[in-house]
Amino acid sequence: MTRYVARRLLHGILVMWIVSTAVFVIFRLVPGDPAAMTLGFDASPEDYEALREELGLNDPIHVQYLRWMGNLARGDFGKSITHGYAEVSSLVFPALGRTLELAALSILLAVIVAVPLGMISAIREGTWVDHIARVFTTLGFSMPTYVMGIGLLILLAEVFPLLPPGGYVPFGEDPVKHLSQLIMPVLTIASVTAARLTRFMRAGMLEVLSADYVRTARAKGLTERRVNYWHAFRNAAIPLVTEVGVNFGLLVGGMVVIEQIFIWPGLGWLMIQSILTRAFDVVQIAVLVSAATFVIVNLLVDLTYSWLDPRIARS
Amino acid sequence: MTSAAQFSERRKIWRRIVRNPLHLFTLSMVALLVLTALFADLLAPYGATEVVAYPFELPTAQFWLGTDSIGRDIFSRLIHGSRVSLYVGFASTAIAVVFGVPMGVVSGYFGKLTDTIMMRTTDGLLAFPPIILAMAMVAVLGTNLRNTIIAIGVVQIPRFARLVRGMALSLKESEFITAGRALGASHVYLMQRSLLPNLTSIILVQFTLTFATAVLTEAALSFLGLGAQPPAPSWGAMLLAGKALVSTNPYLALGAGSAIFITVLVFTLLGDTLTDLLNPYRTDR
Amino acid sequence: MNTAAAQKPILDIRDITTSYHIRRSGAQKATTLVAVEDVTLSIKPGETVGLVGESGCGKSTLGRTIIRLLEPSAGMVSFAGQDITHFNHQEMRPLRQEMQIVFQDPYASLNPRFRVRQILYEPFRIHGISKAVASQKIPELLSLVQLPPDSLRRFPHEFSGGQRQRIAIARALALEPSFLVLDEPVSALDVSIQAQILNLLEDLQTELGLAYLFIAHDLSVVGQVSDRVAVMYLGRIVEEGPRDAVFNSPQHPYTIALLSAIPDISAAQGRQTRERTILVGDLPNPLDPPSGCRFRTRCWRGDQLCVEQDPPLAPVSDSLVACHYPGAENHWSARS
Repeated sequence: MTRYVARRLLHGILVMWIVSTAVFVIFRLVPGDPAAMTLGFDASPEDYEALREELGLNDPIHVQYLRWMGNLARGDFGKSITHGYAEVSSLVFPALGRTLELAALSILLAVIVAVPLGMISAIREGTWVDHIARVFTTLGFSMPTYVMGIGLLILLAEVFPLLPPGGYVPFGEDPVKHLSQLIMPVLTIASVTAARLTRFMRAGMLEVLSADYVRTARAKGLTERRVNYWHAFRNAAIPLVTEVGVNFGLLVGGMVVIEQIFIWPGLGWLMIQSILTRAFDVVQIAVLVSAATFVIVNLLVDLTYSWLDPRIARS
Repeated sequence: MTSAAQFSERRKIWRRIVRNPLHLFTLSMVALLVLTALFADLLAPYGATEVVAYPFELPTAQFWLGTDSIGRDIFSRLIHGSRVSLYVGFASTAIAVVFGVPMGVVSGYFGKLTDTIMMRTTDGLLAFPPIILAMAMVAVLGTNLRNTIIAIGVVQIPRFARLVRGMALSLKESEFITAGRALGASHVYLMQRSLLPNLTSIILVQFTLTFATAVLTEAALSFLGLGAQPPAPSWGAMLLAGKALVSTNPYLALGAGSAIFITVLVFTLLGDTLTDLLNPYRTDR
Repeated sequence: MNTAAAQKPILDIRDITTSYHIRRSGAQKATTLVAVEDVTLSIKPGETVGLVGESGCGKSTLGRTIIRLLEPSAGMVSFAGQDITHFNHQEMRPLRQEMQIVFQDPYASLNPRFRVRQILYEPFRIHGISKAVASQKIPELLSLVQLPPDSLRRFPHEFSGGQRQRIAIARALALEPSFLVLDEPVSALDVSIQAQILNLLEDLQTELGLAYLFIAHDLSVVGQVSDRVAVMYLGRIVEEGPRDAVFNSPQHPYTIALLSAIPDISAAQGRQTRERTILVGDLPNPLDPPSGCRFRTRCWRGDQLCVEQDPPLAPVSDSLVACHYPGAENHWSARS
């Protein structure tokens, strides 16, 4: 077990190294360098040269790479020249917090809906409950999150103006408003995620329900209800952890559009603003941090999974 | 080789299509979308950037979905938009195939160090949420349609490489590959002539699924202002414009949203249909 | 089959050893599996040598080493008087026309995406032979293996196992080789089909003057087709000799055990039956073979000598036998 944890940690670190190298490659080696990106393509050659010098872009590439990796290793994310030399971390991490809040609540809601729905759908396979659940999951699967978001916005903010059309107030300032602003984005993401999780849960339950040991349990005289709820649930729920983790990681990235629609100042929103204001130094860190979140979540999921099902670590 | 067997093989596929209403529906929808994109100029009543009326007109017999904030016909722009979506979908998926497939085949076939390096690199690239990576690339390259295509394509390369690598890995141990080696075939020959033909159907299926994702990503990037630039008729950009216009004319947002939804749905279904149709081992009743 | 006495061998292998490096999950370093050890064998033009042994004894590895799909770690392979032990891919290419292989599983050895025409065209294409020549030869190959001409348009999955094996044989014969490795060519087939394929192979040998290395785990099949027989156990040849000598007076206890497992026809005819010798125990782990004689863990004749000394392959009557106590079984049962 300890060896498994160590191996997974090591792999996570390796992936993080590749990720930060990839960010470096994208932002330094792709034509259209940070200086050009900051100044736009119609800047004067003098300004361009001066900025290149300030950013250290005239140094040999390996010096730049070592400086980049060295700074990251020390946790120094630099200062943003386009944000009045503010610490980039003071911009990125609060934004990450707001994104995680959205993601966590959405996942929670999705799980609360998907687990019972998937179970009922499996237990009552072929009935009208099952059919409705399957239509819901199929639609949710192909529905782009942002189309769903716009639809909700039209419905709940325009046609029936029940909720604010977006924005952000910190919880400490106005808890009620904060929560009301959360409803639509959470609903959007949760419903799309719930569709995937329901399908996964249903498939898992069906597989377990047909397995031999459930039949054995039935033969032993347990009631139908206990058979379904106990044996099948436990075995179908464990793989769900992985599925939740995969979705969580994807959400952090996929929420870019949702945050834009509902003007929620999370990591995705920050990225868009920074790209539009040419703040490459914020963009590169935001990209890095979102990938890091993905890697860490996957790591946590793997470890949780191996804790729930120790066979994984041994194989 | 227009032989009877080839003919019967085709007829078998045809029979599978006709017998399954979902296949029939999917394929006709795909055909409809492709034809719309190809003949957009003929089908659309007005040009994509043509100002034809006052802004904010509600639907009339002349302007089926009304007009947008500049007075362009929304229905016409939706039709022209299919061209942008399908073009980006096709071009970016083509990039992913052209680079991803050879990488996957070589990695799976040779294994060892080549494979290790490839797999660790894709591990790193797959750690990025797809849209974030695409955004980062567009941010650096500059925002226009060509760069959107490149960004979306590059993001999909490791996914193709992974898939193909897995298949190549299991196929290379097949005896028909060993038989090829015994005949004196070169590595290139074995990869190209023996492995690849066995990968075509899985590549084709993945092509349609990636195509759907690419359409989705293009619309998202354009929605964020990082894709097709105005006045190009991109569905994503129209959705963004429609969001601001919701209270005056909701049909812009609804039309663009439905167009994206239907296209993605149809190409996702096409993946299932192809999986079913291309399975050579399936026997029909 | 023709005896081809006093001819120079077409294939000659000396002291061949082939090993694999295996990395087991969890193990720190790779272990070496010696699949074939110190094997010496020669095959004359037009001759069939049968190679028998249980699965996992290294017979397929030997077959693949001979046609240089694998590289031996020691020893020498020479083909038609040419030392090919360390030939690379390029140097092997012309020789590929001379030596071919037919695999056990005709379901796996034919590319499922190719029609038979494409499958049979491959050898010509690989060796840069013009399409005109190929399209003239392909129908001939088909009639050689007795398949109908319309087979060319079909895919492998449209054929039965026996028909597929005919296709595989036709492909192996395309470049007119003089030597074929037949790696359990009938093991995957029904018994009735087996006989057809064996007859076909015999006809082809007579017609084309082919030499065969016929690999099988079934002695009765080998007995039907071979001029000489070699018996393998855990990577070594334990007995080798003319077919009649091996079948009528087997010397090595392992050969005796294998022979007694064949359903006896003479029993049904009312003659005296052979005594049945049932082999007990499993094949030892090839990663950790027994000391001394490798067969001793399952042998009923073994003693301390067998634990200490590895018996060399030495002449006993008409055969070569690797045993400290060779001899027919009745001789031994009389003594005890």
